[in-house]
Amino acid sequence: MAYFDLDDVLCDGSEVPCRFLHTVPGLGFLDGRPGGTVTAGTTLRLPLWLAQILAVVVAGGEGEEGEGEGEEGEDNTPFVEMQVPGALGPKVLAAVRADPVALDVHAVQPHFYALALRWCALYADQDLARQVAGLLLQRAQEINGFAVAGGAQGGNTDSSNGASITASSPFLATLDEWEKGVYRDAQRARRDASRWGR
Amino acid sequence: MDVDIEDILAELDRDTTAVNRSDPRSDAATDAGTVVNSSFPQEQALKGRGSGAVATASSQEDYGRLVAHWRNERCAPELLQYPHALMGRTLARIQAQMEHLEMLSMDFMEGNGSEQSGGNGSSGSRPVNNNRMLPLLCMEAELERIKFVVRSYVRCRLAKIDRYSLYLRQVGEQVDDDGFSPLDAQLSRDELVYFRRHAEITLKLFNDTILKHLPPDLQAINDTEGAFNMVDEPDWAKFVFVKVTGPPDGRLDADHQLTRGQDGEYFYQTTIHELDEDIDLSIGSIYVLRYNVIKELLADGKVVLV
Amino acid sequence: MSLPSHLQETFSPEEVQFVVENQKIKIFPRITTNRRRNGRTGDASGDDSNQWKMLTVDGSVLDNMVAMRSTEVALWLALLLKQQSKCNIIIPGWLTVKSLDAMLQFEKRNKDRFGTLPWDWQVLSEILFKQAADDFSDPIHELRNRIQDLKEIRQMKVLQGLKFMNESHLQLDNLGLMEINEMRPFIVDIMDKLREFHAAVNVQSAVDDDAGDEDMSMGTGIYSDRDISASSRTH
Repeated sequence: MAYFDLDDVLCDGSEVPCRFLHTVPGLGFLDGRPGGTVTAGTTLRLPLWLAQILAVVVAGGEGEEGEGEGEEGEDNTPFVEMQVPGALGPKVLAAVRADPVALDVHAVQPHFYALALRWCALYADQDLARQVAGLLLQRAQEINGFAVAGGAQGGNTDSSNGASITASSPFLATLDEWEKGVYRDAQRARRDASRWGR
Repeated sequence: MDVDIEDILAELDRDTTAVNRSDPRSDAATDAGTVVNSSFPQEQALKGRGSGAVATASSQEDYGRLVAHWRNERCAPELLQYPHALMGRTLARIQAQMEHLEMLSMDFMEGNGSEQSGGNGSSGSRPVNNNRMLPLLCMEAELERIKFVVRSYVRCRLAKIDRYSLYLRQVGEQVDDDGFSPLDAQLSRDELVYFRRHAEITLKLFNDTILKHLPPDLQAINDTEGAFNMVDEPDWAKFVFVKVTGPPDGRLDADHQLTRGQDGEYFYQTTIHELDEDIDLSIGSIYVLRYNVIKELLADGKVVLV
Repeated sequence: MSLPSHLQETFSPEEVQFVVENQKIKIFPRITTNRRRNGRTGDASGDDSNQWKMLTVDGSVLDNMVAMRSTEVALWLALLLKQQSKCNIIIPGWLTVKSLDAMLQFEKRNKDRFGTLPWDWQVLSEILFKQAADDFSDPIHELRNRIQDLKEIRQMKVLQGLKFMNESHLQLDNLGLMEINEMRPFIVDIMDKLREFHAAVNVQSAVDDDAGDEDMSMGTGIYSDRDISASSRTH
């Protein structure tokens, strides 16, 4: 994943629920209570970029970077435990299995695939990967179908005119950001070939 | 493309010596290989590519090679090696042709003038006049075509240099004992100059606008430690479309990488390491594969990117 | 940018056409350039302004044309000569009603593979229809119809084949260059993403790795829950 990839950066901002495994003073601002303490067991929604670090860095001074304080005698667990975000939760996956094409992926999470990819990488979740890949492939057929139709008409999808994607069909409004990129690529190729043939 | 004739001639001089030894900088040396009539044009170009001196550097064959390089460069995720000798010859020919055409068209203008005033009677009638223009017309059209390929090829490479400039810097830092880095072979001299200036300007921009305002240990633009690698490398596993053409000289039996199957057909055995999967690539077939699987075959000219 | 981003890993149709135009095609010249035939041997040797000094094609072929004797030149050159009324183009044998009908039959009978049209069939037919219409013996509209039919039936096969995209590989024998180019961005996008998912969970060999149709199969990624039967091959 490219360091400067914008979609990746945006995806980093999506929030995941995190259960604190330790009591940490001073982090109350995360919960809207500046100066307060976050007690162990609380679940907060944190952005992925933060959650990722906190889920990995072990609290308690084991010679780690010592970024936080743990209570003495604490076992070596990380600060938080990340929980499956709603976007990748059982309800969504059930919908994925039921009807991949009908699912409004964009509403679930605009950067659905990016998020799923990150999650799979973090937790080596084969099952999730399998399901999302299947979703991807099935929706890809639909996307191509629309791209072919859209391209043949000589439709215009210059990136400056991104709004035209959503306008033309309800399905296209359900595409997440990555799928939109795929649609644009496919449609452009089709449109250029169609224009050449005239 | 602004080309200094002195540079080209200097390049040419260097090339004649390069022909006689296996110089990594000279582009694919060729056998006087058999040119088998094959469907894809670059197959003809890459046939005869093996070790040994350049036996025939005819302008036709060179053009074929140039087009092959252009197509490969477009489709490949990484910056490929610059064909120094080939480009040197090509640029020289283009320059020479441009001068030749200029001369010809001046002759025509003068010739026309004198004929209209009832001068030379050797080619009086109009159809013949038209015929005389024909070679010039064709030569000009051809010149435009070859210039297009050269320009497009260079543009493609420059785009990659821009995109992977940090990565190339890393590569460039591996200087060997003679002071040469891999970049000297991979890029042309002009490209190297462009690359260095571009990298310098961009880095200065980043520094002045952002980096110098950051805490000291966050100021690097090419930090590879830590969770994220800041340096964008080319995606070696990217999928590409390849056509398997077989050994450039057409001698299937002599190619050790080829295996013969039960039905008598030939194929290359390759492995997708990430999947631990073996794939047999038959000659004449078209595949969509990861670039790293066919990278070596591509360098040998046994497959082409389409 | 030196090169627009959408062109950085594929070609425009015009560029595909350019590649096709480098191919050779047979023509009947309508002029004679061969000096001996021309009876111009006595010409001053200094007058070489008529000489074809070419860079990318064989100049001697052009220097030795004899009217109505067939010869072979690059397509772009043939088109230029045709435009100047200096030649007639010989239509390749596969571009006839009879031959295209046979090809259509093959396409219809073989649902899982592509017929062996020349790799430049789509581009060549379009160019010749437009620029060498009078060189055809069969009526153009008949030919166009068949070309269109071929395009559609092959497109359908490609669409079917898309269901088998995976993170391993695809085999697409006999696809034309224009067809490849049109599908390239989409196929690469999807397969790259599948690859990323596979790499993210970093599985070496899948539990249900069914080798299926050995070498020629369409890859047996763990995400392909389809039966890898013979029909999956677009061979």
